[in-house]
Amino acid sequence: MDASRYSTIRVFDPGNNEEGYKVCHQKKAQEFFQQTLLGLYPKQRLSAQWERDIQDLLLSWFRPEPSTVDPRCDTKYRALAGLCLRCYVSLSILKACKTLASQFCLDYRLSYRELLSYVLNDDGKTPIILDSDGKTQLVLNQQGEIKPGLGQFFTIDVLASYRLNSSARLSLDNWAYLKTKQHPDTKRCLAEQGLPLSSNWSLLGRVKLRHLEQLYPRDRKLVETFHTVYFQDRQQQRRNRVNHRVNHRVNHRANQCLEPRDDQLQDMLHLLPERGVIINSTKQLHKELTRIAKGLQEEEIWSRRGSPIWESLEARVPETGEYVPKELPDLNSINTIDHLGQSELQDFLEQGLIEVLDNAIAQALVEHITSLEQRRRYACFASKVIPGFRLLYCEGKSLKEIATLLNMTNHSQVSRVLAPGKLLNHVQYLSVENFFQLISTKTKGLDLEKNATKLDYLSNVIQEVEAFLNTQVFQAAVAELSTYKKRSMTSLYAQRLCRYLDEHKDENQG
Amino acid sequence: MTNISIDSMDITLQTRELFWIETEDFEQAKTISEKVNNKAHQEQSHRNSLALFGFERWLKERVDKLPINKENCSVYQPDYANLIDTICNFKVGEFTLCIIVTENLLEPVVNIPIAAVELPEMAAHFYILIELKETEEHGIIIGILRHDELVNYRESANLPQGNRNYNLPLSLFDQQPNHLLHYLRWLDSQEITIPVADTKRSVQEILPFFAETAINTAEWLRGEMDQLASCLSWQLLPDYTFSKPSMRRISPVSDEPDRYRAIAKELRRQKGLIVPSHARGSYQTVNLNGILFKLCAVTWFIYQKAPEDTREWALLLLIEDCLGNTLPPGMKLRISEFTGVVSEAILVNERYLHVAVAGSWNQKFVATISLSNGASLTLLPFAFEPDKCL
Repeated sequence: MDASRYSTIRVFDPGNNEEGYKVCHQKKAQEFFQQTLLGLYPKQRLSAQWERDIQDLLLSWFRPEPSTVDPRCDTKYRALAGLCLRCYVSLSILKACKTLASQFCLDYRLSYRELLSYVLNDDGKTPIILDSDGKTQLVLNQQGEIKPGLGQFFTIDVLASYRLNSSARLSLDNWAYLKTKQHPDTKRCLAEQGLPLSSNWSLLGRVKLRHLEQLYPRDRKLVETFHTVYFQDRQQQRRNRVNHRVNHRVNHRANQCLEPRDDQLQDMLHLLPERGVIINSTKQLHKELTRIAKGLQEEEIWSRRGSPIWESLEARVPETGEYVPKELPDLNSINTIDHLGQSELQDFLEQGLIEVLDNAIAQALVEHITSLEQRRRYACFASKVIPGFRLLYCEGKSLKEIATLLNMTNHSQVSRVLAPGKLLNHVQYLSVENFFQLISTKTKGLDLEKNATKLDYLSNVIQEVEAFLNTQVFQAAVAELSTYKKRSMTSLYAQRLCRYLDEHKDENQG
Repeated sequence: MTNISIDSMDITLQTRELFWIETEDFEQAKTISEKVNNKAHQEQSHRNSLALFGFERWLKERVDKLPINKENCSVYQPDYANLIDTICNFKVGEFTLCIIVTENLLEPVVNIPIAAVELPEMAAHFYILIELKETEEHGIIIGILRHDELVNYRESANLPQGNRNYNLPLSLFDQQPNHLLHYLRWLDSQEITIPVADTKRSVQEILPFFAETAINTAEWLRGEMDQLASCLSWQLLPDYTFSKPSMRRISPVSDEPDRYRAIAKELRRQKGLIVPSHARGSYQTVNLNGILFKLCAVTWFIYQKAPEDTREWALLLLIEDCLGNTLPPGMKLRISEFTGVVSEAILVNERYLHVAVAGSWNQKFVATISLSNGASLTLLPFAFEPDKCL
């Protein structure tokens, strides 16, 4: 990250239909930053530790301890330190919105732009300081007077609530991500998209026929029984609006099911034997229904975000019911591959594998022959490459045998001319490269093209693609080459190579 | 975290990236290394050349039409061979590569000269480790390391400063040379920040930093001339030169103190440069390309107790005409530290030329004086080491 992040703020801009926000440069913040922090240049890159130190320093100025009497802590100074931090956090918030919305990017139901108006509401200029309570936002006007603030900038909320001294301290980026996710309006937006903030019971209540069919027969019967009791209650409710059971069970204003009470579970228990399910206690029934609901919940998210849930973003403490933040993975890495979707990437790689591998083999062999042709000492051996590899991979001959069969001096010469390990490395390189090119084409228009030149993105994608290719193809290929004495070349790589060699056996033979 | 993604590091391929060395490579390497005058460095130059040719061929075979540029590569500049063992300034497009050639990797430790990391003239985006098996006529590309990864490691591992080399664990290196190719092909070079020089320095200007010796100006403050400086015929100015009028004595032998005092006064008035009374200076007469001039070095310490306990020293260099010869316009005086040029001044029509710099006590400065016709002279480093005073 470079230092310019502390002087550039992202502000919600309804007029910008494309991005939904504008980027404003804050000259005052930049001057302040340069003056106070060792004359850092805006383009200077900062290490993680340095970044953390800078943030700690700025925070200590922005939220001074009441006890410290530092002349630097005059109000103007505090506001400027705050402005630098607001700049920094605005990008974190923007990223958070993009990440949160990207969970729905597969069906384009939610754009991050919809979230920006709630959380990117900092105007990017008004000097703000915090009141002595550490929360209330006060405006510092041009005359240097302190006035009550008109509203609440979310950037400041993030900064005011950020805890430096906790043992499980999050990075400021991750803190901003968490706060954005917990913002009431963000929550509401996401809930409208079906991110399960509703209780297990309401999910059970509105489980659709399609879902029912996917359940195990026994689970299906349990859910059907739940529905029956639920339905009976609704009927009764229509007849008798003061029925206390219904009022307890269904909170109509919130349209949410409350947890079933014991008498309701009793009703279900009586109905279950008719359907061939025997459950002994209401406690057991409650447990089973909870389990099914949880499964439905996961499936619901899965179907919406296109990939299974890896981990929850918060952990719930059972004793208090509070949500405790977990350290989140680096946002940069979230942003990269998530755009394509983890499972989508896997599908994509699996579908393209054979074609990419075949192309790489063909290209590597052609280039191998060309490079031999260009070298004085080896030009005469160029024509031996195809037959040589055929003997090695398709007919299981040893290098020594190949030397005899192709009229070459010895096995060392064959090894130099064919260089099977080198070809393998080259094919691996070309396969990764081809995939990378395909991914770049595929993500065109998703505004990811420019990412291709970014270090994090590039190494992430290379790592993903390489891991896939190595597991699917190259591990086996390397293994069979190094234990090649057995002379059984059966890997996928060997198969595709032989296929190519068979097709081209008449070419280049001299 | 319950992330079950596959870590590709666990499934790296174990085939070595090997390149052959050809007869013509040996011939070319011989021609190159013969230009190096030092016998020990000749050997290294020979091996570096072999590694370079092999590596370059490997690159070309793997990726068609890479924009390789060897024009400034250190292998072709014999002066570099005396400075540094690695191959510097091998360019591929916007990227600079540094190649470390080793004979035997007996221990999993790699030594990279600090200069190849810190100096803008030598720093690289990628460091490539090559094991050269000369007798077997091949080389193996062991691994690559990005500059940013090296710097991160240096910061996290708190590597000792002041040594000539960084000792890095071999495990730090990415053992898949294919990755280098992907980076060269796709990455924006700006993504990896390396030291960049505003002003380019010649090898001669960098050379003194690699020398073991330096003029210890801290001795002057004790009224003594260190051995090296006296060998180089520096003459110490009397202790009252920059002191208050009441402290002065009339110098019977020379008018130098008065002249330098006058210049100091002028600098104070015109440039706001304050030479404190405890400052001490030395001067000598220099002949550069037939032009005679007086060079004066003034040094003093700067000690600030608050807010931090800072101990620094200052160096003021003055060039003044000698025997009535006027200084030629375009004359340049430049002071650089290890990592780059700190300050420079060019003569327009003044009577004298001056540059002043300040640095911490362990910092050395090197001065270069050059004329507009290209003639130049680089002096041995000036240091300020009170602990090393006798």
